[in-house]
Amino acid sequence: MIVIVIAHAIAALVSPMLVARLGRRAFPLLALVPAAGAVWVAMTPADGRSESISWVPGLHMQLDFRFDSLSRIMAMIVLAVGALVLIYCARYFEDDEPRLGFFAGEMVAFAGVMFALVTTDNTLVLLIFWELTTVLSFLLVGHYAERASSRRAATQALLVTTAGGLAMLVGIIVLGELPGGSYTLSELVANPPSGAAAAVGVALILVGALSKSAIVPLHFWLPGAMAAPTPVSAYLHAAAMVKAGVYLVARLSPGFSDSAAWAPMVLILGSTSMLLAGWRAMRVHDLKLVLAYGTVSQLGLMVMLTGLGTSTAMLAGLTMVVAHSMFKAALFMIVGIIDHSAGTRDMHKLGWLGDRAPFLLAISIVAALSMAGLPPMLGFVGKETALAAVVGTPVLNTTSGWLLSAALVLGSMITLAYSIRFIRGAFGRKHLRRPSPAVVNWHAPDPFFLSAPTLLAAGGLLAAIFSPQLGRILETYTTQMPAIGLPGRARAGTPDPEAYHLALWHGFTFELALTAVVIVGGVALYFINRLMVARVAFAPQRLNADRIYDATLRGMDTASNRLTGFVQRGSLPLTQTIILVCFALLPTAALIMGSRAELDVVAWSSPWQILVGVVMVPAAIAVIIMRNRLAATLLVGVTGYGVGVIFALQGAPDLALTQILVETLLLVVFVLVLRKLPAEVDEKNGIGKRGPRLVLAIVVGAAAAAVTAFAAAARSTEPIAVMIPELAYEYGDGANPVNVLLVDIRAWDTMGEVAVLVAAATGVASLVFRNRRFGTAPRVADAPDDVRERRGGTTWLRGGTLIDPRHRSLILEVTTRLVFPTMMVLSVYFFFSGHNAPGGGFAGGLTAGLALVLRYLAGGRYELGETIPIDAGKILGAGLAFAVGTAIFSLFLGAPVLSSATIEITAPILGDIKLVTALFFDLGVYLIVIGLVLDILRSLGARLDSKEEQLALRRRVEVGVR
Amino acid sequence: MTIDLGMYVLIGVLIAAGTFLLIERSITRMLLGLLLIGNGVNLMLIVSGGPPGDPPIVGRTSTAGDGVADPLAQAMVLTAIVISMGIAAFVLTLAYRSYQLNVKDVLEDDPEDTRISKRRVADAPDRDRSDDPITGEPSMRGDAFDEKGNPIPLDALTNSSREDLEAFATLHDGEFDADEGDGDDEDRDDEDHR
Repeated sequence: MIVIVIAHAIAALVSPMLVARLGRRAFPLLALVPAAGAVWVAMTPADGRSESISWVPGLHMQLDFRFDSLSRIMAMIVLAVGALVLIYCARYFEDDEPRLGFFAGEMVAFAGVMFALVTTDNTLVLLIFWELTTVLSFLLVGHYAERASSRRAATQALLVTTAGGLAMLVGIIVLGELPGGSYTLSELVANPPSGAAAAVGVALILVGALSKSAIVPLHFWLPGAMAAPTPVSAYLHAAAMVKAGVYLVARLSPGFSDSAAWAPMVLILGSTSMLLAGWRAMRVHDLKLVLAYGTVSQLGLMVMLTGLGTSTAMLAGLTMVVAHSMFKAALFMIVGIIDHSAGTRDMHKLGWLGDRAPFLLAISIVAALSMAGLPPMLGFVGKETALAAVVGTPVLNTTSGWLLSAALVLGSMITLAYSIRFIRGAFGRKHLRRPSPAVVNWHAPDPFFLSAPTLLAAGGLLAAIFSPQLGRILETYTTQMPAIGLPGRARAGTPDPEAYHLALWHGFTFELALTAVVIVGGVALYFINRLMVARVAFAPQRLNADRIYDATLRGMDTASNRLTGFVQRGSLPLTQTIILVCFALLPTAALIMGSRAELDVVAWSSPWQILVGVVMVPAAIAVIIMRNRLAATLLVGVTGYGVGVIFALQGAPDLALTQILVETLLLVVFVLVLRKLPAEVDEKNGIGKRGPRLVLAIVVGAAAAAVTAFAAAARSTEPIAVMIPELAYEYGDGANPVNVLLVDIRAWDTMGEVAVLVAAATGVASLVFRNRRFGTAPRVADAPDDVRERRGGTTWLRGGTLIDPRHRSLILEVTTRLVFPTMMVLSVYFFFSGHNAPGGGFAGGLTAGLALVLRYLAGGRYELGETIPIDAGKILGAGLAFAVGTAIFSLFLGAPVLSSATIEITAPILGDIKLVTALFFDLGVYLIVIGLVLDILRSLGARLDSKEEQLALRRRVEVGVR
Repeated sequence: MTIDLGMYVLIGVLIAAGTFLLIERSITRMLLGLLLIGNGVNLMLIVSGGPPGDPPIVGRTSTAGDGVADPLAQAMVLTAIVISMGIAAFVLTLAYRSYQLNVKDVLEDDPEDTRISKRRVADAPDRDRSDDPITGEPSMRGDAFDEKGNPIPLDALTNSSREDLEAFATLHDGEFDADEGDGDDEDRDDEDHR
């Protein structure tokens, strides 16, 4: 079975190429694939053989395939009709049809997916194939993608059936997770779980099945889907896809037909569809639509029969499935031929077609007889069995039994009536004196075009003649049907009164009498309908499922539009206010309402903390008042250094070191940018009045502090942190657990962080440079000649000579010259010692960055280029490569991503060296931090310098010209 | 766990001051607010990790307190510190660009959002352009294409080409039901011959 699925997949993939080469002649070739599958199905006994591939065992998703008699029947329909439809495609399309290759691939893929759907035994895999058919149906219905109606129909089919599929997914999970539930279909049916949850699950699965089978009230997508090319309608919307719902009902019926929601949903909705859609089929005058509504009607009948819960009803249902696949596919193909050869499929435009195309008329009549349920066709056999099953069924009480029988008889009458209407509408003379223009221009279809519908129509006749044999095949499944008691009537285990077998002739029975009634009533109904349609102008329907669908979509569009407009006002401060209010109120409310831990408060744990706090609090408050940017920045810096001191007091030397380095660098960055901005901030920048803002700020701050305090106080067990130092030493081979956490235990986190740093550096550079990103900072040799001429005298820094003498500071240059090497050594020391002592890649990189800052400040922008004559982007890239490379390298050694190892070497001079591979990761971090600082300096520093100089130059030139 | 009141007051002040600055339109001041909040939150993480203690480095001790400080909180804060530097540099550059372009580093209202709030459903980007502009219902315009796939303007549509549109009837279900009938009554004979 898996082989068949794979063969279809391969055929689907090669078909675009095949069609590109052979044109429409590729279709018969492609038809060989499903045909071969059909031969396999015909030769293989339905012995419940199974194949299985493990896929996602953790989710219970196994590619289980099981071949029992129901699967065999459905697979035969799917593959045989699929092959015939593909053959039919070879004449329906022209070679120059756009997108024909993809169309062919989708059709073949559909056959394979449908085969997999009816043979799989796992509910989740079933759902996957189910949704695949939905997607393929979307693509196939939307084949004429340039037409708005096609797109709309495709979207509608997709939305309706996907919504049903989602309901089904929930149902599958409910049935799978219940005690006693299972994700295997055969187990579910053999031991059906019971109870309210199971009933809900089954109801949800039914929603999916009924939406797929276009049962009222979700039927409207099927008539809409007639926008598809006719082969698609014949295959997906008559023979195969819409039968998936019927298949699922038939599959679950033995286990669940006594479930609470089953009978109302299946029986009431099924018979409602049968009547309502049948009535609609007598109204429309597009031949394809007549068939489409007829299909909805027949699907209702099939769902009702397979879901009823007796073996005779199941037999009738499956017979109807087989018969319907043949006659409806044949009729669709005939309509396609009419459309193709006459250029229209409107009843109003066809007259005398029967005289022009007698053979087509003949096969249409054969197929329509089966549709109408008249002898000697399989449709008749099915209808007789249906009557036998429904009339006096033991599973319903008397009233509902009679209601259902009446619905069935009425539905059969309507079916007969629209069958007559179809034949006359397509082929009749309709009191015209001569053929209508469309028929005059008729060009006769060739025999190959006619072959597929002829075979299908003849199949209906043959199957009727051999119906006892067909019956024996079907009964291998239907006899598994326990006679089931629905609420209010016979209990489970009540046998059917007598076993019913398929046959064309049962003798003079009650069913035969009913058939006679159906014939008389159906013909009468046809004439009454004709009179009514002719005389009475029907008002357009007010209540129409299609309109409701439109209105629903429009309503959702409007609602989302309004909601977006309401929520996103476009003002960032307003949005932030909303977020902050929620942040302040929700946790506080939870804190007040819920249970709280007792607070065990001390004023301070170290007097030094209070000293630092006394400096920080006024600084933080002063920031609010300051309008001067630089002053405010310095005050924020004060709080930052304060935090660093507290880190040190708390026992976090790594943090203290990093915080102080970062704070220093930040000050430099601020100064570099702020020199370009005005000193004061505009006064009218706030939103709203200062009073409410202040209140909000205080509330947020208080809430944050209070919630954290209570959260900290709620700690009741030993924190994991206690164990980390020891574990880090044991497994990470580092005495500094903070560094081990960064480069080993939580290395993924660090990886994300350095990626952010690279992005930020790139962002800074591209915002400043705008149109190009690459290149090093300018070197001394790049300086313009007039600047170079000025240089002279002894130098401590090469670039320093290029600075305007008024801005030079000799002391700074000398200090830099002396301190820079020391700082670099310190940086390398931090980097190497980080694994066992405070330091690490971040601290090392930041120290090196500060050294760069010093060189830049003392020696100007040319000095920066002299210090590191490498593109910052390359440093960042190298760092990222180190980090990612270390991560991936461990994969090659068979370890998980980012594992670290320890290598010990004994070198001649250095002695024993213990090397932890995480060091390479840290090297990446180190390089990225340096790259970030370099990028900032060369963008916000060097680049802005040169702009300033250029501007000044231009100003001077302008002045000079004047 | 004991609660260090002084520290929590400090956290509250830092976050409150940061919040006040955040609800502004000047990018520089918003960034300063963000940094203040960041300092407050980092402090919060460390303080809620536990009371002061020995640095979590094997073999090092201090007089800060009993026990060992929480290394997990420290590692998280370390990441946060360095990230905030990258973010600050980026936002500062944004402020600089904004000042270059608008001569102010002020955050304006988002015009896109304003546009959305004023938009009708019919203008939504996922609408078919052929749909009716007011009701959003599909119109005939979307189906009219000649053999090469070029759209046919509505006024060029003749009655005869209308029926070539596949599934036209499904779109206009009701209207077809309102037609006179199946076309098989005798009085319409001559009409059909045209």
